[in-house]
Amino acid sequence: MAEHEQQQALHNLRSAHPDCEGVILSTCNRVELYVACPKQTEPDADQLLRLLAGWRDVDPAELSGHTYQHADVHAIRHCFRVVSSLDSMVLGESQILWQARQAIETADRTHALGTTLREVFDRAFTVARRVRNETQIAAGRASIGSLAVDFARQIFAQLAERTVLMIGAGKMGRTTVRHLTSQGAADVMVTNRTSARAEQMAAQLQATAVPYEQLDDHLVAADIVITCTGADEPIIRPAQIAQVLRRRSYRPMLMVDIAVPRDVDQAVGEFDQVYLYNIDDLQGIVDATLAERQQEIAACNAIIEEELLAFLQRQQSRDAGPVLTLLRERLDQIAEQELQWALPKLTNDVEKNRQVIRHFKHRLVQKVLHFPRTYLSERAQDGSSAIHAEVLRQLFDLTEEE
Amino acid sequence: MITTWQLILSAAVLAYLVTAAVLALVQIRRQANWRGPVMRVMVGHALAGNIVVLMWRAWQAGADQAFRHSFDSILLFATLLAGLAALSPVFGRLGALHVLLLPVAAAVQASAFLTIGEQAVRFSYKPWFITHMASMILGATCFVAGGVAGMAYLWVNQRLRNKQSQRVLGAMPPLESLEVFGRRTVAIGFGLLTFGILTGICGIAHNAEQWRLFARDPLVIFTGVMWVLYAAALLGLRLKPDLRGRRAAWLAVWSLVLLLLVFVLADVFSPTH
Repeated sequence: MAEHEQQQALHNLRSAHPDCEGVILSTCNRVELYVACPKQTEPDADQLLRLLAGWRDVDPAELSGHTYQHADVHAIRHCFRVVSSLDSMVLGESQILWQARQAIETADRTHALGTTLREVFDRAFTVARRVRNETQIAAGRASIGSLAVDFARQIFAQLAERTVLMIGAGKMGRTTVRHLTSQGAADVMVTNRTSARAEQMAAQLQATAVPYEQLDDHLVAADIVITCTGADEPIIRPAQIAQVLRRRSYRPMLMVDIAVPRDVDQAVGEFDQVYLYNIDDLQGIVDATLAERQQEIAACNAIIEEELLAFLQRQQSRDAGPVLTLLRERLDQIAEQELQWALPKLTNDVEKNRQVIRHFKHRLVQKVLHFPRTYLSERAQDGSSAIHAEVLRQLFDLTEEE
Repeated sequence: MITTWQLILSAAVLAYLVTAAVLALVQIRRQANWRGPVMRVMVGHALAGNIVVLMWRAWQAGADQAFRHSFDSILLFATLLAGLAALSPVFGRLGALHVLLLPVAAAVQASAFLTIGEQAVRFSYKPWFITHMASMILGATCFVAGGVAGMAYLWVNQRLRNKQSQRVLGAMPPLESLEVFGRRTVAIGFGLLTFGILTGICGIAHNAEQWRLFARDPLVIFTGVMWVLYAAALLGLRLKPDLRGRRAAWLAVWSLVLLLLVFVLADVFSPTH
């Protein structure tokens, strides 16, 4: 969902349920609606599903098979897992953090963000930081493009001074070149057997289209070569590279061959100055990284559970605060009433005063106990008085003496 | 005479260097940020400790007889290496070179303790000796730094060729930086070695007796051979660009090996050094 769609959807949510807070987290493989409401006005799952379906004019029945719902503590746990990237397609990826921040900002701008969801998401960001710092969930590289950048950075001192040559027009090659340019590589050449296609690619990548017929000359100039053609046979061979290396004074070259079948003859990788990686090499490293990340899931879950418990405890202790204030006010009120009853009755007669104070104590206790006594009697009718009596026992530490 | 307190302080410096080397290694493997500052503080203390010992020793021996004991020379060598390790983050992406320099500095510091029983020599040719010794120690520092860069190059190169995960490598300097650093330090080291040899010759030139004695010293002969080898290698690197990269790294590593041989020769076989 684009940002303006999210804003409209949140606006619709607030119109239908004015007491509710809402956040929409929309990524490439999920749309999640987080809602926090007072218990009395809480919309049920069907209402939320209809709301979701209404955004894109989908039949709610059809949509229901593709949705999941979590409530209360499970919803908070899910939020922590999502923001910590445990629920992402690429485990441990960092983009979700940025996407969650965007979601919060959008909700804030739409005035759909309240205290509850802000606190949940703030905590989720803290949890995500802990998960990333204390486990290896984000270690290594999980995409071919970022891995190619890593290899380039390990070979060359400055990417900004390097020339990148992309041969072919494959999508993965394009992504890899974009990774390189995002890390500073500024001089990019694109070549293809079809010059129109090369020019189209060059326009997309803000690169220079160069003629394919002069490939050797371009190889001399290029430090990083990305190949992704559909050729049936290798287009770069050892004899050709021997010449190229001599012409470029044996400066090192990084070659990333993403094509299947291969564009670069494997023997080219035997030159001291050539670092050749093909799609299988890179995919192997990515798979190994993801497998290592899988092993970190238990440690991540432990952190999430620990943080969830701490979050709930804080929430509950904070929820109890206003109740305690009300209780104090009520007791003050009762004590004041009884004081007003007792004070006029005090005289110079000490014995009489003692009786007044005893009476005052008795009345005070009776009035304070009036509320729990009445409440427990009412609960006795629905059979739940025992559990409330137990709460009372624990509240006042009422242990029976033997 | 080396006092007990000087030895205790030098041993403390050794402990600091070893701990810093271990922390640097752990930091690079686990990418834990807190170990970096702790490690830098330890190297700082080690440097300060060695400088105090060296100044103390110079004050003790008198200005004209400073550094007449091998212990002092080796401590100065270790100090220069630790200083280079401490400075390596200043050189941008060469930052992680301290991981290799610190263990070498610790090893050199430890070797100083092997010379405790040796007798200090008195010099009659002090001015030449100071420049000779200073050039040789600075040259040795360059050769060690170059050798360490060469080893790092070969290790990184091997991992890249084996197509292994970049997680550990991410903290290591890029091959290009290592190669340039290694080539330059070996070239500077060669210049200092040449200057050291020349000042050594000047120091004994006035005395025919000493000249004959030194001419038969295996250390002097070996150093001469080493100079010729370095000159040929550096010339080759300049004239044949296909020698760059892995082969240049091997050259830097061999420089380090030759240097260690010189150390052994100086300590075991040389009648004059």
